[in-house]
Amino acid sequence: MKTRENILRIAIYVTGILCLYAWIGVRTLPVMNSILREKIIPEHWEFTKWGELYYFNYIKHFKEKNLPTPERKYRFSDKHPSLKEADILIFGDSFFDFTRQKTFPERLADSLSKKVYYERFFYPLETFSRENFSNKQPKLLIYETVERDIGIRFNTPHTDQVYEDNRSEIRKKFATGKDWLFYDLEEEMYNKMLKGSILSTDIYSWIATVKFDHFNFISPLTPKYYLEDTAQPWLFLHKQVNDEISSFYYHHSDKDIETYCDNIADLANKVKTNYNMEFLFIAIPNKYTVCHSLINDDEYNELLPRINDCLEKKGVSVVRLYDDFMNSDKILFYGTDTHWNKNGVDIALSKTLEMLNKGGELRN
Amino acid sequence: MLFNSLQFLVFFPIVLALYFTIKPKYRWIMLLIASYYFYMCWNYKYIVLILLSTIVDYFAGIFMASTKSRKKRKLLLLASLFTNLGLLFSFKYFNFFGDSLSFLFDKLNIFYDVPAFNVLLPVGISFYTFQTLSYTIDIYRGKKEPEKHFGIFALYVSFFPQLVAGPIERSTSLLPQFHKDHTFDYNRIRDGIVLMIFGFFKKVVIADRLAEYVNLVYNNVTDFNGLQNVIATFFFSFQIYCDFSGYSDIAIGAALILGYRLMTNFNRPYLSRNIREFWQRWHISLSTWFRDYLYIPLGGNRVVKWRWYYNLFITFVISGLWHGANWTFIIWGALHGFYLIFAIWTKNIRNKVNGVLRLDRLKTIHAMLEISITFLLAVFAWIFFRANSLNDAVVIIKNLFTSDFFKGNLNLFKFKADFYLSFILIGFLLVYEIFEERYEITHKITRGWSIIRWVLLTLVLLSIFILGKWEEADFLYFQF
Repeated sequence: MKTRENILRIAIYVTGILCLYAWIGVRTLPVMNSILREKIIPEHWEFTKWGELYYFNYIKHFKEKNLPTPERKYRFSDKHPSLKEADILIFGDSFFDFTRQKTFPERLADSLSKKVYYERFFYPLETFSRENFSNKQPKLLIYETVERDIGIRFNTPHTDQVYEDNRSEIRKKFATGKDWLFYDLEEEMYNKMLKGSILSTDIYSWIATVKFDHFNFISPLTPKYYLEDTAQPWLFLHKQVNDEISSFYYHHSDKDIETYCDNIADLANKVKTNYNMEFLFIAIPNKYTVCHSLINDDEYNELLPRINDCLEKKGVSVVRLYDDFMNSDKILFYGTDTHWNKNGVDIALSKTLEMLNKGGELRN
Repeated sequence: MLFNSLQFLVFFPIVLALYFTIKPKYRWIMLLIASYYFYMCWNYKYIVLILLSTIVDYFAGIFMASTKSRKKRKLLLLASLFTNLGLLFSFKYFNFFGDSLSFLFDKLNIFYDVPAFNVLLPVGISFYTFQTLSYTIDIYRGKKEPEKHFGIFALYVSFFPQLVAGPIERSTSLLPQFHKDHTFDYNRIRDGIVLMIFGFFKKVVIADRLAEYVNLVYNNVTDFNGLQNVIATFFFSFQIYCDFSGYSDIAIGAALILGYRLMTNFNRPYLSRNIREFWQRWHISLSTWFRDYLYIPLGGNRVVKWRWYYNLFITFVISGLWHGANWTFIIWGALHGFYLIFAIWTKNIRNKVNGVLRLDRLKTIHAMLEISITFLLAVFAWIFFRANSLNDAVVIIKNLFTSDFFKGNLNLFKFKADFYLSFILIGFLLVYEIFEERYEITHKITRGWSIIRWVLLTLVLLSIFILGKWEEADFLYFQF
């Protein structure tokens, strides 16, 4: 009895210490990284062995082979100009920042031999206001967004309002302490730790694979998948297939489309009027929009064609990618990543260059 | 912090390791800090409400004991009632009564804009206010001496295992335990761990699985037909049972590991042979609270018959209101009150029918019949409990009597296997409970048969990992 009691006592202390380590770890990146098999590198989320969607479910069949190794980020390179120096400014999301292949902004800079500034941010007017940026020289601003985020980023007009923290220093310190203690992302980070730590990742992956093999259970974060060929598995992000505004299935009314387009046109107008910049809008089709025929023949909500038509009517320059993506006979996305591959960037770049040449924006 | 969260699975072992490291006389400080942290993880601002209840009831208790004046004691009790029920009313019922008044004014063509109080409902407020109220009422009645140690009293109000969803403990049972030293006891800790594991099983394997079907149907009642509604209601009966009794098991298990014995909250309620017995087995800490602090003070059954019926009915209506600020809960409570009154009223007739049919000779069949009828009555009442509105409840009931009863796909789960698993798991639960009722197998498993214990525990743990739904899902009773 005494031996069993001692074993239990030791087990409780060891578990307590491990949990204390985890508690501190989720709040302190180096501590967290010390037990992760693949380290978290801030701003370099794609520096992983497998496609990002694999890490949502850890089912072994979705370890996509032959993924290119990510390269260094263009926006952190010496080539990247400042906001003031740039000839072309690009604001966009992770598609233009995704470095398993040379990124669009870097390739555009190389193709045109121009200074291309890229910021992974969706509200250029806020950046200009925050940086006290002014511009007289004619320049070009390219706004990129993935299809699923159009409804989110343009449901209201963009403004140049910047949030200013007017709290006293003591209140700020108190808030920082409070946020550390009652950490909002605690559960999410524990989840990451459980899935990725050297102690638990193999067990987690085994359980996830057993659940998938025997009961077809898969994470709700990747509900749709195609697995005929384990060398080329396909996973789709929940946001593209659920009933949210970002989904393939969401019904955008004509009024919704009009609102998004009005807000995009408004941004184009403000950029032209206040900063003397031409505006070019690029919407990248969702992976599910392009590849859903792998899974079903469900009807598309036609978001992109409707947006592009509407924007053109309002006089906004648009790079239309939808038809080219749909008609391409190449694979344009990674199977287990939400993002496009080099073939996708190729199409977007050639269409953009074509557009710029046609529109005469390159003359300057 | 939810019990079924990784946050809790990290928090609890830290508390445990610290608890057994610290000298017993200082453990209350550690538990108090842990309990406040546990609560503040949900919303740090609302700790003020717990502190307010604690301070008011602590001093009300001390002053009540120090005076012999009946009038002063009454005033102090009223102060405690006013504070606790005032908080409960402001945060939980203000808008409900406001909306009901607005509705009434509209019907009477009176134009008056009833103000609204738009705040988040503090988690567990109904539980800890009832717990502290029982303390002051017991002191007022002279049943208990006041707790002199403020820290221990604060811990009694906020003890984290049972803070947000009970069991609603009595001060006579829990407070003395905080004064005792709890040694490291292998058997006690093992029993606590086993209880927690079974609680997790009920919550994440059964309740959260059933929730998907129930939510789909009950949140879109017009889209589904009779049989789908029947299955959803049947599933809800087990969802709420596994959810709440699972929570109670985890709470009781966690407290037991630390050395504190909390009261049993569920005792296989679906094996009850009548509604009275159902209420002796379902949410026992609440039903005994209402019995001791409402039903008996109203006169209980030692009054004339109509008054007895009234006492029963009003107790159940208020119990319904305690569960939520919605007419659906009031109807649910009223329905149970009606069941009980009807049972008392028809007792002689039922006894005569039993005599004529000689059911006393067919004991098993008679018992099964009674259990089935009681279960069906409880299931019917759950329709009102789960429905989002009275209209929805009416739609569900109407759907039971339409020609489209059998129409539509019955398997509404995202993962089709869940449908069959749900029935298998419910079957497993019922078989387990029947065996527990007859042979007390849990006791036999934990105290003897060590190979069977380890095999069973491994199986339960594996099924928690493999079949458990670990996406964040609140415990249903948190809202009450």
